[in-house]
Amino acid sequence: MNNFGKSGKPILAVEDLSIDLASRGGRVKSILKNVSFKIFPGEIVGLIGESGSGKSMTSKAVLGMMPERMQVKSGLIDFEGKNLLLYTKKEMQKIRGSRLSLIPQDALHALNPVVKVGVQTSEPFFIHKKMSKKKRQESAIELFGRVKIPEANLKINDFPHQFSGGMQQRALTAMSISMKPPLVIADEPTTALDVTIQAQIIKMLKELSTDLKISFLFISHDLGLISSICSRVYVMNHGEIVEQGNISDVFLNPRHPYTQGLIGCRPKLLGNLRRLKTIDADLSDNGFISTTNYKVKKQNQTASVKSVSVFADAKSYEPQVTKISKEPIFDVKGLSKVFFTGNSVFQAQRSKTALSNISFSIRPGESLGIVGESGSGKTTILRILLKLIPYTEGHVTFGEKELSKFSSNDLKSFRQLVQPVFQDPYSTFNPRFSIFSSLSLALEVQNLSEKGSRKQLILDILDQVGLPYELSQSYPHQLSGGQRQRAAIARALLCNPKVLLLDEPTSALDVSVQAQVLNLIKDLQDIYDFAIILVTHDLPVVSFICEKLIVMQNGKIVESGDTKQIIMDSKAEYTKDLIAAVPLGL
Amino acid sequence: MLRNINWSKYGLVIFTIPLISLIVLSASLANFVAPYDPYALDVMVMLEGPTKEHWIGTDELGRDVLSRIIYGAQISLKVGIVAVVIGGTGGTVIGIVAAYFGGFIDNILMRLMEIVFCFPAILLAVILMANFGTSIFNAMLAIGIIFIPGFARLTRAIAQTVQRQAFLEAAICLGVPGYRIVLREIFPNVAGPVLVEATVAFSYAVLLESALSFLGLGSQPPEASWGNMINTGRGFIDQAPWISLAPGAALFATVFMFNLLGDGLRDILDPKLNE
Repeated sequence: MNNFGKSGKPILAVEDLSIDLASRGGRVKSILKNVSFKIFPGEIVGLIGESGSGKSMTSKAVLGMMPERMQVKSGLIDFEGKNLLLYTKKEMQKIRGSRLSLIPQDALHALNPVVKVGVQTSEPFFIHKKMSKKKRQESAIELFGRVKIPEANLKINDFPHQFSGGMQQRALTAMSISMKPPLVIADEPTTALDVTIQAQIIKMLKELSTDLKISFLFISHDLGLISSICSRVYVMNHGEIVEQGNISDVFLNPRHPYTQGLIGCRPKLLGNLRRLKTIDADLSDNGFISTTNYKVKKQNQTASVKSVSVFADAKSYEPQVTKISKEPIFDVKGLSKVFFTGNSVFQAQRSKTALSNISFSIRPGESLGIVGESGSGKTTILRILLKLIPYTEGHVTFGEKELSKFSSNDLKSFRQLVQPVFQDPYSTFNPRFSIFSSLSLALEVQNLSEKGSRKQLILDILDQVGLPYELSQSYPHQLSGGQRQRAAIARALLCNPKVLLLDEPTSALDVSVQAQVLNLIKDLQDIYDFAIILVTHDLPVVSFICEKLIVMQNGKIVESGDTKQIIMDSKAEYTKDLIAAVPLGL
Repeated sequence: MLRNINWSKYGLVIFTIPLISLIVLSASLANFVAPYDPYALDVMVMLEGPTKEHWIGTDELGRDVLSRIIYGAQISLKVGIVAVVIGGTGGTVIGIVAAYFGGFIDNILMRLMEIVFCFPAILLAVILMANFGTSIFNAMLAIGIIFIPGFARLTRAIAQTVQRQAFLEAAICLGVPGYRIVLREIFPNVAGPVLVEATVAFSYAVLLESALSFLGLGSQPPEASWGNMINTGRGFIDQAPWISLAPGAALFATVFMFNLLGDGLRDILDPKLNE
């Protein structure tokens, strides 16, 4: 195999590793197929793939933490000259943490909430070196300094909830490098973190690698991220390594169609793409990636127009709010929201200002992106606009009416004209009902159609979002995440809305599925001409979908205006930080 | 569509329903099924072990134990089922209402439930029956009321998690009216755990009834219920263990069947277990 110019012995060499999963029914499924890769001392190697590609399973195999039902069929894992697959559980325990360690995926749940962070971080010293308590505390302070946790001597006595997400990940990193192991496996170490924090963590990992000569196996689904930290990359798909090489080779001249698709389907920060590339269905036929290859057929436009007229017939009332020309649909002025916690009698009431003085407006057919990190109040805005929670001050007008002064008739038409798509595809449908049943509920409560025509309408709309009709009888858990998000979009569209409110609609999806859903949203907007308010932390997604942009921080708008303009020439310091933190890729 | 149904998940229900109907039928047709009059004394065969005439022996007054178990099932099943229906319905309604409206109503209802929880179950039943008089119906009512807080807490907890799910907000945004949100979105997700809780409550109700009879508040001797048979049999456990063991076994079998039924129903009701 090509050593890419590296000389010397690799620290980890996985050769021809195949792993099977035996299911309870006796069926055998191949999880890893002939996986081979090498990591040399001091190197950061990327392993990229989507969910189900087997990348996490690879890391588990190396760490000797495979589930019982996994069986190694062939291959070897050569770590410092010894085959790890032959190690007993006890021997593995000795290596883990001292020679080989892990930075886990979900930083926010990886620390024990009832044990001081300093104690947890220095645990390896106790386990592997039997160090005294006092010495452990000193080394914990030193480690905290290394991962740049300020005021280390105070912070070691804090509990995990007193740490921010980024700090928790730093503490976990400190733990994993505590014994100065030659190899650390970082399994999606930044997925739960905001982009600016992510950039800091990446910088820190790089420094650790050069300072301490630690090799990293960096597992991620994020191409931009991989290309900003790794020198070499392996691309995994369906348990196989489909491409490998130097980062620039792979990213600039991808040879395998899967890699090409992966690179093309990620929206660029300043791309002027009309559509994102998608990965062909036949390439991913094992159901790991949403298998429905969707296309919006132009002839369907007539079908949708037809259904619109059905809606118009069914509407007996003539709501004022629909008479909108180019007046703003939503007009928000001086909006603020204060949350109160602790109830009256026994606890002192505390208040937290989630939003202050927010103003913006959106006109029919426009698309507006609201970008901010966690805690910026972007989801709160959305929930206010959906009239799920009341607001404290200011004015939100829909059409000509103030949101808080709706009559029941206004509310009825509002509930038709404003529709949400939520972030989590797993809870967006009631698990007890089939997709068809959930969709027909939408038509039923909206009173939008005769009972007989419902089936046809649902059939049309499912076709529009690229879901085969057979799937409508399935229950939500039988669909993939991407399919569920499509169904959620279908449910929203059934109401023929004027505004679609999207709350991170793609952040829980794989990049290739994300591309399909983003394309779908854009195409549907062309056909139905609804306005979009998109809430997300993901700047490239906003720049793909929205022409207007609001950047939020701590409940305030820091910048707003034309998307392209803001990205190219941002005025606010925070926006600049946000843009700089987006891993650009090559 | 028929062939898409996974029959294996109906196995438990198909297995338990005939057995439960057997128990229920023999109880309701006790007049025809029972070999002896459950109250007929026969001092000649006092504390006799199983014989050809008396299949599971006789008790301290020479009454046929098998007949008394069959007649006793009438009271025990009635108490169990009625109490669980009262407790389950009341608790579920209170729990869902508390979770749905939240705030002040939630506070009031749940504090009320905690007050009910404060009293030992037996004491509460005694207080209730001191007020309303002793009768088997009042015993069922009392036991049912004791169950309400447990069901209410369970239901409220589940309903609250359901309410945080996106599909509930999606339903609100579709303009689904409140009563349908409760009936269609919340209730089906609550029903499974409530059903399982109900089978446990059933067995507890039968035992509680026996404790109440022991205090002279439930079914009164010579009337037979499984609970008071177990109780009176205790005194003879060394000479004639069958007097309490046999109704105990009947209780065990019934509770076990209801538990299995509960599991089976949960499997059917939960679409996630389809595969």
